Amino acid sequence: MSGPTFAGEVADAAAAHALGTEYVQAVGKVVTSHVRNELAGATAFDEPAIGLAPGPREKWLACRIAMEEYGHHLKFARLASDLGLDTAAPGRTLSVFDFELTSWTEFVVLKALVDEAEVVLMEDLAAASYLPLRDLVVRLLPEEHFHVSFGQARARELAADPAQVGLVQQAVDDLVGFTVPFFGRSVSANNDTFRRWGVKRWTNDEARAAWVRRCSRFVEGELGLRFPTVDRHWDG
Amino acid sequence: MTSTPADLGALARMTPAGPVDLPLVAVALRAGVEAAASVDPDWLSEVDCRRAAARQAAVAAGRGAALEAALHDALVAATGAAGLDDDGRVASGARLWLLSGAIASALSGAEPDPFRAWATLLAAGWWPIGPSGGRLVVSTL
Ligand SMILES: [Fe+2]
Ligand SMILES: [Fe+2]
Repeated sequence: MSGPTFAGEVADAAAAHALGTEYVQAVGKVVTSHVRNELAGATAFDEPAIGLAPGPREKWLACRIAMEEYGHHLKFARLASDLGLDTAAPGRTLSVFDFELTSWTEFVVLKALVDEAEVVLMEDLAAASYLPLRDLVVRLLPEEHFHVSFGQARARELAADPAQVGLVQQAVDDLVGFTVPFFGRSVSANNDTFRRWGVKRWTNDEARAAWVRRCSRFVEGELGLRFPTVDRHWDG
Repeated sequence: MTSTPADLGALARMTPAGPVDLPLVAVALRAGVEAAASVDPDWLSEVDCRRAAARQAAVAAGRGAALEAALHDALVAATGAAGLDDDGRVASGARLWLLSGAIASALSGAEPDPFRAWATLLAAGWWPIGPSGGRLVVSTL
């Protein structure tokens, strides 16, 4: 990372533009990736999970979660449009959305592990120099925490069921592999820029390591299952 | 605010999975959440199928963007409540499940619209739950 780190706070879109194009682009990249990925998650996982739920309570909680994720997409989209960004432009969604969801067991493990990755990212952004972004993630974090605790509670029940425990382990193995790239490459010019402008504090590897620590503690300590070996570095 | 439509009974019996002719009971939220846990599974999956079909039909009719916009309005009204407990989330999720089905069904132009009667109840502030324990249960929030 080159140059001094920006330590100021940026109150609104006009102040962001006053700082210059590089700042707006840095915030914009972070915001538009959330616009895309919250929608991709709701469409690929949460909406289909409504049909996979084993009973009414689970079905309606899955629907509530789907609507919350969709709401996150809309709120990030509003932030992007306030900044004058075009969110209709096509962009990559994360590799984790290539995971093909086929069972309720996979869904609950996904909420426990993949939404924890989202929590790690949001906790980093909770100190972002762009205050509208900071305020938004602080408002959304309780919902993401609920998604994780929902997934963890059901994963604990399923892991205690001899008929399900093998499927839980399989879902852990598959989903961890899909989630490692979620945090970006170890060497990342984007991340350097985000940190230089105080949009993020952590390197991609630091965020990945925080996620591995939390999830391995949960999988090994609480589910009594094996957490796959993960290289904290990822070069694509 | 819940208001009671004059034809509550008739509307409640026109469920999105077809007519249900069981004794109607209106209960408070807590009892509603309890009844919800044992809703007839066949009825539940029939509603789920019709909801999924309505969403597909709305998108196929080129109303995907309208569906997204209408869901947006529904969401602002329905998911704003912070600090819900699990029961509150179940009730809110159930109403969103019906509401999103009703929006998709209306946009797809389905006639007759299987969700219309229950959409009226939702709009009046009710949570129509479904057949459970030999009764047709609706709840106030
Ligand atoms: Fe989210
Ligand atoms: Fe989430």
